[in-house]
Amino acid sequence: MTISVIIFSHNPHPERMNRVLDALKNQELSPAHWELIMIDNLSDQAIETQFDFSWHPNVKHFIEPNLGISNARSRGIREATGELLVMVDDDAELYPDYIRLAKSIALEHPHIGCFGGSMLSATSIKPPHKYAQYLEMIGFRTIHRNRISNLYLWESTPAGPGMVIYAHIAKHYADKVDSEKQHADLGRRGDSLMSSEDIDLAYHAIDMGYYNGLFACLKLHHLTIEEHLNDEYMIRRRYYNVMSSHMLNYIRFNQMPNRIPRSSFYLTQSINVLRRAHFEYQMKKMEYLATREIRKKIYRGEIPRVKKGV
Amino acid sequence: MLVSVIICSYNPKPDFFNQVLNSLQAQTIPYNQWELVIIDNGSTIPIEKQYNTSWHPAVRYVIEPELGVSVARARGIREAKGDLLVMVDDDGPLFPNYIEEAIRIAEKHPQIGCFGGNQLSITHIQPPKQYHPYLEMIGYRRVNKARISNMYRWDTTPAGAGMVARTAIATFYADAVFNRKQHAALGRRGNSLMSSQDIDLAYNAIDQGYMNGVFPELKIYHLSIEEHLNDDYLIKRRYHNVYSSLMLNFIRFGEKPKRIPRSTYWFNQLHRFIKGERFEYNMQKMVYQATHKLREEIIHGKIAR
Repeated sequence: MTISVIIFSHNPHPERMNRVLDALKNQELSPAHWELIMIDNLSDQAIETQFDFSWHPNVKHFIEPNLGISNARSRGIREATGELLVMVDDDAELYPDYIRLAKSIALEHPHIGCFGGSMLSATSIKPPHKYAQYLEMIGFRTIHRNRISNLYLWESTPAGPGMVIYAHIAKHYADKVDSEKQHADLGRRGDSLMSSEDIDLAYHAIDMGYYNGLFACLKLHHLTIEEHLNDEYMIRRRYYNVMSSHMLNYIRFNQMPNRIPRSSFYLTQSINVLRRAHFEYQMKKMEYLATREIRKKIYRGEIPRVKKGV
Repeated sequence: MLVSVIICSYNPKPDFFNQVLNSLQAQTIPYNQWELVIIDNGSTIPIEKQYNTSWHPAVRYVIEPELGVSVARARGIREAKGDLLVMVDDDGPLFPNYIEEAIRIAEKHPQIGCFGGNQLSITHIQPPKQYHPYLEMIGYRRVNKARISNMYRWDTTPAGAGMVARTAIATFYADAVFNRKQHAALGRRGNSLMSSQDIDLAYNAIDQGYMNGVFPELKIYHLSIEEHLNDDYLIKRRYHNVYSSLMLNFIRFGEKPKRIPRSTYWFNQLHRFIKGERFEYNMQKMVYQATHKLREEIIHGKIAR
């Protein structure tokens, strides 16, 4: 089974990018067994000249002029020649056994089309209790037990960083993004934190009759966790998170987001105020605002649905 | 692959039970590929005397004196000789291709340990909208697309009626029932409507590294749906349903049920009361009471893990 590792980045943080590349260099499966596709999403300083790639025998550089994760990802998928793709974000430091294990999982479970694993903090930070239920939103996820399903369900859906997927599924997705603009809308672009495009990609595997899975043995360090563990970022991210997941559900499954009744919203909020739970108050507010906004957009017909079927 | 069909029953309704037997007689695969095990859970008139099963060459009647679905089923599992078990309820006739499809699925998906499918109404009744969220609770379930997972969740868990299980998994479950009383306590007994024992059996498959699944091509009728589609039954059932599913979570995963805050509960109830939503009001009341009761029992140490 041939493997392509895809990195895409826009103005990477030099220190983090070096760690990501070092982790790839130190993979147990030697670089001779996989190709490296580097997609430079229009960085100010070309990535090719900024970092050292000389350790890899088979590295291909591409510049994708259209900004946006979806565009960069699609480009990477198109340029890859391997049968199995490993998507590496510019802040995802793989454990040394990652690619080797990914290959053996793919060989052992041919019915799983798309899979991933734990995303851990490199500094083993202990997040405060109030953040507990939002950790997966910022890419901090611990898998204790393998989870496999053919359900459209976050619990068994791999996240973008470290996602492993069959090339033919990913290529099918890339074509779909080209022909239907809505899929591209789910991706992050510039400052907006919309981010359901990796879920959309993983769901494509299920559309095509495969399973999704999460494996406890696959691990990576997500290098931006520490930076994002603060009220301000979490609150801002929550808004886009709610919005894009509602959008995904609407576009894919025609599910109209449920209205949050104003009465119970204000009741909860007044309790939060009395408790001085500032963070919970803001999170709830973001959820309310995002839901209201997406419902408005749907009513105005600004979000066209996509055609059904594979 | 030899199949054992297991029926557990306690004083079955003659009309329903005859329909079940007729549906078995009409199966598309020959009788020599499956055996029939009937567990009589101490019926007043023994089932063997009441019904005609002479059409099947390999039928066995077993009397299990201890009352309770869990125990009866565990007994059936122990008596069965097949590689694949099909659990049939005394009010759940199978579609004619059921056993054939079950074998096909078991061969196609070796990683699936326990599976089931649709449970349909024989009169094609259209339940009122307010009942929709609770239909699966009373055994009215439609599956449009195969759902498979190795997660402990209801979406992919087959119901007891029509459940197909590999013998190795079911045997493991039967041993657990005989050795530990909690598992048996999940099963329905007499008048109480506790009923998480099916889920418990299916979860056993996951414990052992298999997956669970539900498939659109498997279909049974559930003959008691019409009778149970009324406010009174649904409300009564809801209580036991919440209670037993929370109990399952506690026994299996050590998850203590969350307290429902009194303030939001009363606020919502007041809201429903003013709107005149009597059914929703009562359903919510049942959820609250069941949760409360179980929490008290756990706190007082009445339920061992």
